[in-house]
Amino acid sequence: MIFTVFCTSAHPVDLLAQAPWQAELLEYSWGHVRQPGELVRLVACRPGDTLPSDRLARVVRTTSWSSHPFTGDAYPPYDVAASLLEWLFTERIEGSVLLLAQGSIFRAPVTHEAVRGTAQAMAWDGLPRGDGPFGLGPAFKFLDLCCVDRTLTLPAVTLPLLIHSSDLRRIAPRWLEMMSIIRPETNVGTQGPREDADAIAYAIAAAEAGIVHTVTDFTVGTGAKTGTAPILDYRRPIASARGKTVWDAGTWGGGDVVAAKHAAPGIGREFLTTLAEFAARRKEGADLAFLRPCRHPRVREAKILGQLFLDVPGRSDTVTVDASGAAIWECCDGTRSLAEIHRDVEARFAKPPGSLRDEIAAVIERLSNVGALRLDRV
Amino acid sequence: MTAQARTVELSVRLVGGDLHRITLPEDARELLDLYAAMAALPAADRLLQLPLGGGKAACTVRASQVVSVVSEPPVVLELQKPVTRATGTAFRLRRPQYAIVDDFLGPGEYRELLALALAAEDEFKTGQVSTDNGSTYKPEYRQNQVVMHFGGTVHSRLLQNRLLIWFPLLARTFGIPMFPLREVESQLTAASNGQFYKVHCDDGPDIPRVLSCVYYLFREPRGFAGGNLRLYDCIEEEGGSRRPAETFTTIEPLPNRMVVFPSLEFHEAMPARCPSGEFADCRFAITSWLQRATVANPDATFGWGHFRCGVVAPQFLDAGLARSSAP
Repeated sequence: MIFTVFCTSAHPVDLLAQAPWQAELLEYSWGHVRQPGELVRLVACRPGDTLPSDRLARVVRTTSWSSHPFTGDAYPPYDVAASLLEWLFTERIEGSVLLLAQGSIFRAPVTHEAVRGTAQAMAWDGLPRGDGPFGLGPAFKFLDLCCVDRTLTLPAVTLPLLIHSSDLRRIAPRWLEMMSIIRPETNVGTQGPREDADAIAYAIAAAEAGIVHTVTDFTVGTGAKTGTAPILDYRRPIASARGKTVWDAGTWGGGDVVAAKHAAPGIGREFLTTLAEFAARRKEGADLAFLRPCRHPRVREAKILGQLFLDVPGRSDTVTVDASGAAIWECCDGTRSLAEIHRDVEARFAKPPGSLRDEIAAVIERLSNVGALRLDRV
Repeated sequence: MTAQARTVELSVRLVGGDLHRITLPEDARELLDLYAAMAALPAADRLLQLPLGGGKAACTVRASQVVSVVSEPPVVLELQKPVTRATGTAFRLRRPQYAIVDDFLGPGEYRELLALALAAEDEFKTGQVSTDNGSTYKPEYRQNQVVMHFGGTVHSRLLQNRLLIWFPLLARTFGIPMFPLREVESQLTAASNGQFYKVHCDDGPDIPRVLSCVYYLFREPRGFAGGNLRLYDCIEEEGGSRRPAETFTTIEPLPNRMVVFPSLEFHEAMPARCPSGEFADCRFAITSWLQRATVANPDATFGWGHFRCGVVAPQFLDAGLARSSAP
């Protein structure tokens, strides 16, 4: 079981706050490549914040740690570690966690599970080096006080990260704690606290927990010519063959998509193609991910020995639905998105998240085709 | 990791041969009623109502009609002390709240704390209990060895700082609104052969402890048996009085395990059996208590000195902020 997780903030001014299209695009790509498992969106909330309603992702409310409750430091990465800790602790998650960075979409499914005690992540070349604790440099002398073994070798890695939930649960509190120490301790002079405190803190927490990290090429950027990585990072602007920016995630508002041919050949062009497909399906409302199935009010139903019979106006035959189809039918009340129907039906039949995705989609499409269901836009 | 009611599968056979299969949460009132009625010998002819099919139907029988009940997992009653209900007194049986966090510290940190405990034999004193006249030795009530003011040491900060990271989540788990901290009090204890601490709770009118946090550490292979932590169900009577019930939850001490519970919970450290009698074979524990400040103090620092926990952060002020998934 692979939980694909992305962390966001409900607070619009946070760096973790995403434009709605970003979450939708990730969901679209997750469904499009048939990534196994469940898609989970952790949303760090403050009092009064409202949760977004996603199509395919299960949205989990967590408590915001930015600003830090004990130091007052406003630093969005606190929310990532704190949200993960809260989710893993309260839901007792068991399985592989694929933690995505912001601005990511799937190109291909990640199907291999994480092995306990090991993790895979992208390389990070920004880890400071020097003669201080953990080989970090003298500016990190303060770690002598609060770290027992400063001779450990730190993994120089960054997101995406594939790790077992039990290992991430062990790392998350220390990750959060180390960030909470590194930020104020490096806030000297005019530079301000380190912006990469989260990556350094993660490296220390992972090393102390004894989790062995393997560098894996999970991600390819939009500037690359080619690549086989399963995840695409679209945070950098996409340029034309002449070097002119043709598309920028920071300025795109979710409207018209620039034609892929305007981008230089490569991954950027591939991304614009995916984006155009997504935008078109979003506009048409043709994808189940954007719909709420609703039972047609004039359909009459009867249940006999576990089977459901539907009398659909205008049809001469009676539509027969089996027990699992009946459970799906009951959920189609117009209030639930497809993601919510997945969750409800899988919980009812005690099935792992994501395991009934195809079956549910098939039942809904069939019932829609026979006129028993209406598909309302979310 | 948090305490959740398990389900109990029951097969209830009635006079005449009717057999009903029932699933109930272990803290269901019907379960208590059923066993209370059966345990009250001779059988009180009370009317029992048991939910069938997850509450879609009900089976109503007289208690005397019940021939047998098979339960899985087993529900065991101490028949010498049958469950009784004082006439005219309303009460509520409440299961204890607790959370277990295994692998609380990193392996290196754990080894460091264990080495410290093993090297500190000379600093341990005989454990005492608090009374109205101060602390006193009551061997029938508490037998263990303790370093009382462990909270002032550098090593305790290792634990304290991590505990503070967990603090908001633990408070929320127990439904306790975040509170300004006054102090993180801490003791290092050692339980040797036959040593114990009878049923007690950690809070009191003059003791503002809110959360009790027990962290276990010991040499492996372990040189002791027993030493479990028992958290008792609580009988809360009309009028506010509380007392421990006969029923309890047992938590095994495991190395690097943190057990946290509200300080008002009745608990007991069961006797440890330590055949070698060696100090190094003791079951060690570091017990910390998060104390509530009556007056917020924004200048008070905790842990390694970075955390100002003497005030409650704004995001924790909204007690009604419910954790939930999107509708």
